[in-house]
Amino acid sequence: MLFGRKKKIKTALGGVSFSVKKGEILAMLGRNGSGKSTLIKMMAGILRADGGSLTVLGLDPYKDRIRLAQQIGVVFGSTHPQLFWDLPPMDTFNYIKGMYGIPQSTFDRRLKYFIKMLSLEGVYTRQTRQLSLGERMKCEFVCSNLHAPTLVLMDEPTVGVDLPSRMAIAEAVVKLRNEMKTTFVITTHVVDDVANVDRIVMLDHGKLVFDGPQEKMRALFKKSVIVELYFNGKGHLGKYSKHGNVVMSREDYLKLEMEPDRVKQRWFIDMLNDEAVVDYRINEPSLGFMLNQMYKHIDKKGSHRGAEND
Amino acid sequence: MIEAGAYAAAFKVNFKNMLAYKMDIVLDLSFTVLSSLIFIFVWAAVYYSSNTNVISGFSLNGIIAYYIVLAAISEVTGWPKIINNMEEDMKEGGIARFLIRPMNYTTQLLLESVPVDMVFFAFGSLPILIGVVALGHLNIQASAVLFFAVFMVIAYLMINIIGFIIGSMAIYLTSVWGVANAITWLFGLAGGSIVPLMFLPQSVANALMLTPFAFMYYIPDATLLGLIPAGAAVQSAFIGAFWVLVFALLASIIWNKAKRDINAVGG
Repeated sequence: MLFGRKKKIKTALGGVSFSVKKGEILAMLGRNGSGKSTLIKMMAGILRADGGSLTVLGLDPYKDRIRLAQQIGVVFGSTHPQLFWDLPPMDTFNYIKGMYGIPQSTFDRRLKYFIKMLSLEGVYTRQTRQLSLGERMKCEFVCSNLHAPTLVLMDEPTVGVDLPSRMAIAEAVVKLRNEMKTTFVITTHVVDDVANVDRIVMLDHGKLVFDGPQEKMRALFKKSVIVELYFNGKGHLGKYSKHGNVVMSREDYLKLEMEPDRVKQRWFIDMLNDEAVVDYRINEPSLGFMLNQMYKHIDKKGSHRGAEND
Repeated sequence: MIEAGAYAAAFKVNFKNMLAYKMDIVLDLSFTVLSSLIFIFVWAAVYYSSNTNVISGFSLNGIIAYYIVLAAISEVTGWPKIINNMEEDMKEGGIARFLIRPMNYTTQLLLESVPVDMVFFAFGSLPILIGVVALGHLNIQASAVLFFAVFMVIAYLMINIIGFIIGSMAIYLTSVWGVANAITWLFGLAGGSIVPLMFLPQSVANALMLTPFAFMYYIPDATLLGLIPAGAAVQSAFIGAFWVLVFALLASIIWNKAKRDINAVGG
């Protein structure tokens, strides 16, 4: 339509039910548009739910937004930064000190703690727009934690962030949980971010499709091993690809998923001894692989509870 | 309970943020003066070509004084920054970063725009007013200064509340640039920033004096120039306060309805 838009009401979240324990690090995973950010915004009191019930730290996030905001911290990735673009992060830190009424001595102590933990020496006094994305995100993390919140919500905090900064933030999350008993709810697409979490919640089309620790997810894939074969040249894929589900292939490389029992069989030993195979690896499925398989499984079954119930 | 320190901290950081680009402020201040200068040149041409010293009871010097004072007023009652800030917040979802703080969104908006307006008043309005008095163009009465201050507060509140209403519309319209532009022009035209109201037919001018438009430019300007007697100024102050209350009520109703439909896009 040239002069108008057709409006279609889409339910962003429906059938999502879970609770988070104090001091837990929970990763919320799901494809783009699965409802993760919407849920984070609801938990922060930014968005109002049309139905259902949501309680955060004993409060209704939307009705008691201001009271809740005093007890939580939120990181919005690079989309909605807290840092003032034209000022050094230190100015935003000072602003947060005033906003939350943090006493000067406490502020100094906490700032020193975060600066050391995230290697921000010489960073936080430079103009924000001159900082790298990684440096900015580390400072955003400080902004959300300076007032020692009970709960920190992080919405895709590591998108586009370099590996060292990502690792630094992930380590800081664990450290704060261990030392301050801070609860973290993190949405992410970066598999590395999930490595240290206690529990994974997976959403798809606004519905909960998985809820449990990594071990529970691993248990879903206990009937799989990943076999990687490196060949001495082209032309070997056809011969070996029939032995399992092809995960990935190149001219001289094949990645297969197969049942663990198959690697003990004679043909498998023969395959590894084949002259064409110059190297091989046998691993448990990686978290990334498992997540991807779960998405495929959901698409295939068309059932949002499928993966959980298998 | 939000402590006073929170407001002070927000005010301070916004003030500092605004001063990051000083050249922008200087140019912005200069532009308002320049637009008044254009009107002065146009009116000078009208007076010289008409071979008369007085038009509608106004001498050329009177017209010059009117537009100089108008420049001072426009520094703080011009396009309210609150519109751009709200439009950006709704359009790009930036409102989320305000709503995670333990403070009302509206308060945060004020703390964002008041420092800017204060700078424009201190470095724009005040020097112009002091300059015009020092040069002997104005013979100002103490009561006129008092009423002028009252009308400036009324105009400032009114333009910002109207700006807030237009900004709230961004929740539904996304872009409110067109609406804001149309209303700004309407205020300019019916409020006496393009043509002083006394140049209009008496009945039209009288009617406009009762509307919110006149409070934006003409009434404060004419009050300082001594064109509105004290009795009429008191009456106008009540009318102005009435309009402020009406707009505040309207803003409150619209915002309370609109805020439920915020979708805080992005992320």
